[in-house]
Amino acid sequence: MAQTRRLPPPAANPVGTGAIEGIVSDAASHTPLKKARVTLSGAVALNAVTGDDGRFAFRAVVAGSYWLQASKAGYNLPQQAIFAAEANTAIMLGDGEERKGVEIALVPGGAISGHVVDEEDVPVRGCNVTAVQPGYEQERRNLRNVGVAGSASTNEKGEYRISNLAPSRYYVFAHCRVALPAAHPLLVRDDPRTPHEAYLPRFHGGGLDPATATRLTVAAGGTVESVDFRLTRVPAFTLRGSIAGGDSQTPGGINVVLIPANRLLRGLMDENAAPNPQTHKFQIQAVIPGSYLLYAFSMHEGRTFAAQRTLEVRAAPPDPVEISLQGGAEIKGSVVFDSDDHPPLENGQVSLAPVDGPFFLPQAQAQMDKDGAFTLTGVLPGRWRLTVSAPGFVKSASLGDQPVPPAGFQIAEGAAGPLRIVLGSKLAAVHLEVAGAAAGGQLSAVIYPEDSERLGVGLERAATAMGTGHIEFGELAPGRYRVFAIDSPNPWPILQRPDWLKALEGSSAAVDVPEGGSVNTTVETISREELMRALAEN
Amino acid sequence: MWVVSVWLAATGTAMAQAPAVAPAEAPSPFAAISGIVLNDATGTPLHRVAITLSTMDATPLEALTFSESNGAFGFTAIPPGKYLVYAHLDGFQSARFGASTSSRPPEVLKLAAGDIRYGITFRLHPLGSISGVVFDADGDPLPNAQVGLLKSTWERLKPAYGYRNSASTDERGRYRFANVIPGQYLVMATQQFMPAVLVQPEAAAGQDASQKMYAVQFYPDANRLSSAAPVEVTDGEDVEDIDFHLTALAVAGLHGKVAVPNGVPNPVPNSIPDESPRTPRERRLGPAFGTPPGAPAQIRVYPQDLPNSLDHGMGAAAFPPGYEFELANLIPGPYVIEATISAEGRDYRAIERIELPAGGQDLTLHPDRAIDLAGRVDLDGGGERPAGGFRVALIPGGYPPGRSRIETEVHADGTFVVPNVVPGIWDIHVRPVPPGGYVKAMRLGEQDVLTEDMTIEPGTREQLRIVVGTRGAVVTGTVMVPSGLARSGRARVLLAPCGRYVHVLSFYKLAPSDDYGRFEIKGVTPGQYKLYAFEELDPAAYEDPNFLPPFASLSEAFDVAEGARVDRQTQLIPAGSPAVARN
Repeated sequence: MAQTRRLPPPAANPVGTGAIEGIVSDAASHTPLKKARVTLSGAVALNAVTGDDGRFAFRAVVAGSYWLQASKAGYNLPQQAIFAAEANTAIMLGDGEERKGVEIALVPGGAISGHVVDEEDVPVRGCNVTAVQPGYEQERRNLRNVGVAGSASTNEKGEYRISNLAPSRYYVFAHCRVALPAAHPLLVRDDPRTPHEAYLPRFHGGGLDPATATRLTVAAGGTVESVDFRLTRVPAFTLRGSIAGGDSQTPGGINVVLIPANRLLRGLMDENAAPNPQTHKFQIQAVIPGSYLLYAFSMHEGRTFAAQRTLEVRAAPPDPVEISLQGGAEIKGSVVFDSDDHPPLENGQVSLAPVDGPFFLPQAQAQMDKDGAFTLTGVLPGRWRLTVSAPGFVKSASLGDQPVPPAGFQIAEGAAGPLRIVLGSKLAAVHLEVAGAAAGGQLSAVIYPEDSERLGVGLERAATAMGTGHIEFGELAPGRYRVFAIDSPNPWPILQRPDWLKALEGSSAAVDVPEGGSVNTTVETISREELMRALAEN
Repeated sequence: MWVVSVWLAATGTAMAQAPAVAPAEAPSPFAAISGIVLNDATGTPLHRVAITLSTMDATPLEALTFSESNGAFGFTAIPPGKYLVYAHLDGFQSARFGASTSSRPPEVLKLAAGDIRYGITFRLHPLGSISGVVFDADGDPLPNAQVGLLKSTWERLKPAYGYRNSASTDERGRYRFANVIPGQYLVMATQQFMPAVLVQPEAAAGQDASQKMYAVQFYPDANRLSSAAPVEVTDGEDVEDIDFHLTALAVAGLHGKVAVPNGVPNPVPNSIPDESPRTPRERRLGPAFGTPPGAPAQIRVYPQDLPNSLDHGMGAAAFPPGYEFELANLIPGPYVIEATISAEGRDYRAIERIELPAGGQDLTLHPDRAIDLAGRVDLDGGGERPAGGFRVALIPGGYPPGRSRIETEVHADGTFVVPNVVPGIWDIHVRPVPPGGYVKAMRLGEQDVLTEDMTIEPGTREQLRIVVGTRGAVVTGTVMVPSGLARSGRARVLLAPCGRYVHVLSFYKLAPSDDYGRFEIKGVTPGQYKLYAFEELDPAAYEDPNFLPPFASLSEAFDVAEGARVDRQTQLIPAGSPAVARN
């Protein structure tokens, strides 16, 4: 039997004499926003929901520092909010202070709507239509789903509506992941020879090549209508295969992923399969003719088994594929400094990250001992990028006595080491004078390698400061860099986007940093408005 | 072999375009059929309807073609044999030729060499839709509300509701169910897992700020299933304005503790002392990140006043060493709480029914240990044990649903052990039953679990004895069509137990009769039965205890002995008979 008793009431907020009042508005129509949820957090936690006039008020509030945040379904924070340290409003409330007139503007989501029909103008149900923006994967350009809010499925009338899109420019991609049976004579049910068709996926205004597609501009609260698709049926095939090798005891099993060879389409047409745990056979339906990469991998307790191959699907059913999983190679190596005068190496880390491969491929990581020796395991054949976390910079690297560029080099199947890494210990510094910032405002400065191949290997640095002044970047590897400053405490979103870095190049300064040297340079602060203008183009 | 040669000759197109190769004067070794597909609501032809021609084998041969824009279709070069024909088009109810509804048996086409059958007509019923708006307690459209479409059904002889579809409202509060099969439905709406957002522009520290949640509501504005009214959808009908005005209710908290029974090993290793400083809340809710987690007890909470099959369960985890849990935002009312925990491969489970009061509640759950259920399967009546051996499966019966099926192999000597069976009701499946055979007996100790539910208790020690009989009875017969009715003998023939076994669903058998009314039912358990021949019958209908009694006078009870062959006549019950129309 259950023993029951009443629960005590929850602890109450401390009571003060201050107040915070304000209004939530629609950033597009500049009208008050009803039903916005406003949250005050800090010394006390309170919630309010605005009425028709958009107003909210928190009363009996004790002095302290607070965050004020507003949200509403279908509305987003303004894009510049991502460059604020926190996506909300900071308030310092004095004892008994009544802060009035706080304004919070939320941006209404936009929408894209239209129809999907087949060659005979019959509506097609259950197709996925996705609003797509250029995204970045390992600093390389691909098109990426903008998220769950960025896609919709067609109804039985072929209609779709993608809502709650942030104002921006989008490609629109229609993809019906369904195998349609095609006419055939008597065959045993589920005979592998049973023919199928599929709708050819396409971008709005183009085919499968985003370069030919139309990019639509969605305004805050606006709807782009009649974004229609007419899809053609093409023969489609079931790809069958079997997996051999690897660790059959892997509890999570084996993953098989088929991705288009065209990097720009990755993430839009990926197909996954889980091989039968007993037979290790798998199948992927509705594969249309084209060039693909097929990956299979399993990971368990740090052991990685994987295989990859290219696949051309033409006008006939593809032959069954047999994939043999290989355990990754074990590569021993060493890290040495170029001089005797160097800090201790202990706790340094060596990692290899896949270049060109899809994001789901595993990294290889190893800890180095105090003498700089390390052993990387599970290194698959492919192109890899080397990063070392140690008090120095990678001066050179060699694999099996062949020099290799750390930013990207090939490791062949069965490659033996050793991977020898030479670190330079003479780090450089850049002294930056920032001009043109508002006094007392927060700003940040960024330094990054000019060569985009060297992005993402740990050479970027960011620093924040209050007002106009002096910022110092220390512990830099030698090379050519670019620096800029913005009047925002959060430069990190820009560092994730090489296209944004490119867009800001005109407002940045180039600087050549010699080994062990010290360089002075000056930049003008990029205002938030200029920043938003420059980034809006991308 | 025929099949292979037809495939090779047919160059990958439909047989409609692959005419027989026989010369005109010789009789064709093949048959052919042709027909038309129409929209039943408008009478207009339907284009690109998928038409399947299928043999009657267990793994059938199938050919596929599509109707032309005038609705016409055809198959040629059909090897002689028995066939069924199906039609499928998105937005319409799929149909089998000869059956005007899914509750009727289809016509079997018997095709001989040279036969040409014209006039295979399908009249497809267009599907409907249900749509509406969900409003919140302020009267504003509510985005991201969940809407469910329910159809009445029967489960374990009790009325139940099955989830047919679910939808979310868009940013304008709208939802829409498309491709709805005509019939009666219940529609429900709620917004789970988040507090109701209602206008309250002012908040003051120190004041009551208790949150509200939305309760489940059934159309129209009904808080309980019993006061819901069905929504009727006819062929092709778009039922609109099925709107909801949700009610927000104050929430209560449920705090609980799982009293892990003696003997459950402490999953936190004693050798790693927990020295990390923690707040009381962290201590209560589980180990901090980085400390070795012990296996928590899993908690599921099911609202009791919702239809059984709806998995509206909410979850929590109760971590060692205290095994406490908290669910802060529950609407007061009746719930079933289930706690499960595993230790060293052994499951433990507790079930508690509570009425959560407005002020919240604190309870302790006492899980029972799973048992290993030993037993044996014997074969009676001669014959060999199946080559691959028997398999015994236990299927969770009753509510709540949070258990999985357990299956085990029967050893060559007939013994088996079903491991790790938590207390509760379990249904027993034994496979394979040899052709013509039947499950003769199932006993748990002295209890007959063939005709009664098997309830496993923590102290159950009895053996499960299963006897598979090879000499099931055969009931054959003829459906008699009343004079004056211009109908074929095709019907759904139901063999129904009477007397004390009327409640044993596994004794019921359903078989189709052919155009001449002939039928055959194999593997019949000995006992007393009645036969009913329905022109139209929903296969789930007889689970309703009130369904068959109105027809009882149409059929005489008869006895079936083990291994017997019984031939009976039974009268056709035409579609539209009052009791049939009720469904």
